[in-house]
Amino acid sequence: MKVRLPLVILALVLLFCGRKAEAQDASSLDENPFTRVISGETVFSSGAYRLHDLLALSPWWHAVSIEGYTWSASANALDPLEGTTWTVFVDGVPVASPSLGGDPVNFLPLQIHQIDHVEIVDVPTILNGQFAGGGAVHIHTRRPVRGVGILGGLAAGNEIGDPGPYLFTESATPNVDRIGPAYQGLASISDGHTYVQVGIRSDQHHATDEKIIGRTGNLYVGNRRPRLLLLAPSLRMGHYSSWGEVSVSAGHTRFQDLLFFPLFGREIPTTHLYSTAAMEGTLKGPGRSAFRFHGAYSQHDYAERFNRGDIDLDWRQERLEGNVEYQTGGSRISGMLGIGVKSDHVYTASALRDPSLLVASAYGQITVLPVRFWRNSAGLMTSRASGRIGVKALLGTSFVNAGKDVFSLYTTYARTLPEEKNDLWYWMYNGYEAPVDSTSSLSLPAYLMISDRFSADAALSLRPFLRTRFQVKGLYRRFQRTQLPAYDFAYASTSRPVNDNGAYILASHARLNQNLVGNVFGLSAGIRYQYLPVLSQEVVYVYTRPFLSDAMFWRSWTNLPWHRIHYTIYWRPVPRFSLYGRFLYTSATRWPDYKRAAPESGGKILEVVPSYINLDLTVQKWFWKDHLSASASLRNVLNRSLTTHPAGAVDNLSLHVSLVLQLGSAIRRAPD
Amino acid sequence: MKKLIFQLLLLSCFSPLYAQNGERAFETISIYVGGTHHVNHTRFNDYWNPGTGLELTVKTPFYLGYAEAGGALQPFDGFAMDVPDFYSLGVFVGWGFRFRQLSPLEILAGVRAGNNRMSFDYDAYYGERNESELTLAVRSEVALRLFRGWSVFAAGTYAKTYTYIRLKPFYVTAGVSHTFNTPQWLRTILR
Repeated sequence: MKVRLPLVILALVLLFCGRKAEAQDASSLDENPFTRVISGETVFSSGAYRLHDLLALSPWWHAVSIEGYTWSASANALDPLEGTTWTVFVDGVPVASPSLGGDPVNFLPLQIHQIDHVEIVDVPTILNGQFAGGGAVHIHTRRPVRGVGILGGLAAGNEIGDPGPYLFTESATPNVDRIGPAYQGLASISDGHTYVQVGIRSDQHHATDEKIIGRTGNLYVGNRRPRLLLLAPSLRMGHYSSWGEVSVSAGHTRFQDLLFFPLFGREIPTTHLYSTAAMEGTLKGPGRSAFRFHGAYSQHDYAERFNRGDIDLDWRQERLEGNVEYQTGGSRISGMLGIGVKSDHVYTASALRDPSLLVASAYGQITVLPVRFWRNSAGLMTSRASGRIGVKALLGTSFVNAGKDVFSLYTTYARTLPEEKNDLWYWMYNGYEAPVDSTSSLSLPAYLMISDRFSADAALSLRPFLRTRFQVKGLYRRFQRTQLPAYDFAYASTSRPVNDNGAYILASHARLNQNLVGNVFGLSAGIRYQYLPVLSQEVVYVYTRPFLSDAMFWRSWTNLPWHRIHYTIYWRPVPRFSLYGRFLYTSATRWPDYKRAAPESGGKILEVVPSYINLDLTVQKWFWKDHLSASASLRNVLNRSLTTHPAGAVDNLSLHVSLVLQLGSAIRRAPD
Repeated sequence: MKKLIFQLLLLSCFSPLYAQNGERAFETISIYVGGTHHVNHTRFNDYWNPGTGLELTVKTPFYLGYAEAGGALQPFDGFAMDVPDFYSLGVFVGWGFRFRQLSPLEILAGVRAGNNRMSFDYDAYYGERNESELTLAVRSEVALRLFRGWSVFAAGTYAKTYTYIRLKPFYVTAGVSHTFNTPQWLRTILR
């Protein structure tokens, strides 16, 4: 066991001298500068109708997408965009991210109308036995209230630029993306203590951008344009009373995807089957103590979606995980101890050295308030896999001036095992033979290193006036022995049978670099004005950039913008009618992976994604005593040709409409 | 789009400086029925001859100004054999305001946003028979009140449908309208 002794001592000291991690302190969410709590009503008012729309609600998260459906995100500069390290929780249960990529929310058998509130955590945190090193999105669902309720929803969007009647003239142009329609249905029954809720959602997305058609035209089979199709039924049951709460959830998603697979250099048509069953609960103990637990089974199965190349990811991954923790609290000191386990098994025709993976962990957190205005927190998690030990330590302190002004400092250290990352590279090192085009190449290191990361976040939050809060935040990240993939895409036109002109592939030359060292620095400043429930607006400027870094580290981080400005306004001039606006400026980003392909592609592929301005507007009206709501959004109102990814679709102005009918106890009241 | 935003701002400048009393919102319903015709000549008219269509609009006082919803159905005849005839169904919601009423004349101005669905006579590209596209419009209207809530009106609407080559028709619409107190059940729904 190669554990550095000073490290363990430091971690133990942290455990006993601090307090419960800031990011988890639900009682201080309104003043926690590193956790943003967004109500379901706000989510709904913003025109969101897909779960990944949540990513646009935090100024400190930067998200990009190739086709507008599957998003990669970097939370508060905790990671570059390569790979998903942010974690999604649903009612405390961590969602098992697929090792093969894709974002961890778009496939969930969960509906946006089930959301009670969302916590967006911008710092590493330990939550229910899981270390969320890349930030977290914690979705809390609404518990059905007494009675019977049903909800039905419909949402759809349309991007401008179709040929219209000119389709039949010499001025014909290709069709562009439609969005949706998405349907949602929910039914629930509750007696006030026990509830059952069933739901189903379906969604579709038309990936008809010419860049995507060019890459998929010779693989995709069908007489219509490439479509992503999703169908996801779900079930949730629970019981709550004075002794605690227990809930059981299950769901299954069939997602016919076009997954952009960088090793293959283009999208792979695949049928992603996701099944999950989970149980979680909190049981009250003596005094102010409680036991909290969860257990979950999930399965990601990437079956072949019929395609001309017979490309098959040949991958099924099952996961069993759970945790048990004991929490105790007092007015001055509170703490928590827990253990967790995560077991993965992969089924594939590739000869894996070990298809099973077991990670066991033990963790604890403590919160101490020496005086009323000073709070300290510390947490420690150790995990063990393949005979090696990973360590995570959290330390936070904050000074609160009567709930008005807050100064917080939050630091974390993470020594992460490759087994904990559980990503594509781990499994490829383990023997998985991912689909690779004949023109592509791949270079893997002889062994995978344990990576180290230190992060520090400081925030000064001042409330000089009753409804106005100023906030300045700074961040520093130090990465050591870190792993980052680098691709060298080459553009190659193809003459294979296609429906469309301009077919091409991106020949991928991939390499996993490790032992990289880098530093990232960031600053942000914002003003928030709230006169709830009538008016709320916020403007935040975010600056982030790497420095003193290895060239390969720099390469991966230059695809994050250095400057961002995020402005939101929510205005509800009269009850049941609201306007929501969001303005985003993002500076240009550089993508060295596409440097070679860009000039060869004649402008299809970019090396530099230009800066962009995006303005979204949503109007929402509630009718019939809140039984019915309608919203309409114009996205990209300024109609700039907007792209976030060098190989991604170009988006223009689009109109989205959403209708929701709710009856009985399912009703969600409009903000009064 | 920028022009439309500018026009919207311009219209707002002329709006009353105070909001209508919230109690009056949804108090009455006005139903407008009229014939509508595409009168300007654009590139579009080189391929299609517009016929006279039918427009149905429902207006009600909103918290500020008025809100409306409706649809317009219009036929278009293709000049050439390989250019199909089609029907255009524009469904929209709108908002606007009434200028101070010069009884019995009433002047209204507003904006509309909606979807223009074009249904072609035969199978099109990849089997599609329909095309849908966002449409934004600005509109001015004059109404002459007659008796018992009945009016006649004439309106001009400049619309922009955001197809790749924009459709920019100017429509003239004329017809009758009837205004009545909103039934209680409908007021409950709308509020």
